[in-house]
Amino acid sequence: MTDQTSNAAIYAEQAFYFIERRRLDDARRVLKEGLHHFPQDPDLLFHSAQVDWLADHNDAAEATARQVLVMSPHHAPARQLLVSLLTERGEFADAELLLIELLREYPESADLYGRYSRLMLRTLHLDKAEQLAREGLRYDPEDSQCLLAAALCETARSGARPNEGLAKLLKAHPESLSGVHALVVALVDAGRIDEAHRLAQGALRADPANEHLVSLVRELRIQNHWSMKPLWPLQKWGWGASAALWVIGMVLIRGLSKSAPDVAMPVALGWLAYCVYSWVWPPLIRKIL
Amino acid sequence: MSNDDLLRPTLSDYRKPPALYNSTGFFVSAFFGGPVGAGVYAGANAWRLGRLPRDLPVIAAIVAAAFVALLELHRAGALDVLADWLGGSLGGNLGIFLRAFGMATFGAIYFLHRGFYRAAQVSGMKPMPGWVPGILAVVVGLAANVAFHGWILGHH
Repeated sequence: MTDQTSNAAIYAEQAFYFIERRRLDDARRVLKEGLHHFPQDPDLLFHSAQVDWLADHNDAAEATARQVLVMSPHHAPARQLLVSLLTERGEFADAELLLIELLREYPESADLYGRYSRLMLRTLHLDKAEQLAREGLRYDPEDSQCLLAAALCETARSGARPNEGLAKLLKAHPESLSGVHALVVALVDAGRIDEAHRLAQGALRADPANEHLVSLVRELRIQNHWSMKPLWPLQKWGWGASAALWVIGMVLIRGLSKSAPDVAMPVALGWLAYCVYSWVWPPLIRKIL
Repeated sequence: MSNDDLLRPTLSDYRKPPALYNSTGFFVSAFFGGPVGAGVYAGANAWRLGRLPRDLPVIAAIVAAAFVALLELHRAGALDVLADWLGGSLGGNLGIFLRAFGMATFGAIYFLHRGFYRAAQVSGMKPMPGWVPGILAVVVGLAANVAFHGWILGHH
């Protein structure tokens, strides 16, 4: 039995090595072989679920994760994976219950506090998200999940103002994707699209297989396209800029129609063209690029 | 908040997980539906956030303040001066004033829910389509605008 366990552990270790490097085909090959010999091994099954999750085969991943939990109900990594799967499917209440259960068993796990904080942020409970991130950082001041959650909470609260949480995250984990993600979010929020685009491009060069980064760079490329530059005020100030555009247009056109009627019509047409452009072009360019 | 409070489930209290209708629908509702349109859409958002009892008095107060401000500006003669400057009568320009106050109402209520909008943005959450509350808000808002238009021209 000990031999069997250690053999299964070797397969699991190899699979983990490949999963960490996103070599999913190699991981699948090792797991297939391992599961052929040890079909009931919880760790091999968990890694198999993990590979499915990373390959976006969420239904298969969930089925396997649940299979692991039938055999080994306290398997913490499988429960954590199930939290991710439930969150992805929008079953937030179930994901929360599972996270609370895990936190009661591992009350000093900063990582779990960070994940719970992200879930609260995603379900728009900003106060609780902040408190959870703070609580997690008490146990591990450098935990990347908690630092990311704290940075995102601070971005949500303070927008373009200097972000202490983000600075801490980047200092503790300068290499992490989480840091890049938080920084890009903060830059986009501040209307600094060009910098956000360059940063995300750099991260993509370091991790070209990352689909999240690919879609992020694609979106930023669209927002940073030369044809979107005229819409910069609307990108930066959002609906406030739209309201200001309307008020300024009204006042300017009416004023000009009295003081300089010859200029009023071209200005009105230009204003109208800009409004139409701001409505029509962004969805169109997303289809084109 | 103690650790026990932190580990008390929050999401089990909701029939549906909290979410927001998209902000485009909110702006369009305020633009076409005026202050009441903005209020109706904001009410739908507050309901989806599970905060309707808490937010409704504030939303109602903001909408009422917009109409009171319009009335006071009218009593002080400022609306007539503005209408004159814009060209045309008060009746002809009242729609523009209602629209401007609709956007101001949108701004005030957006500020109230700003934390939620920003949390949704930073967590990458997609807002829900706002067609149903948007259409309702525009219809109710336009009806309110027509009633206000008729009342202000009839009584002043």
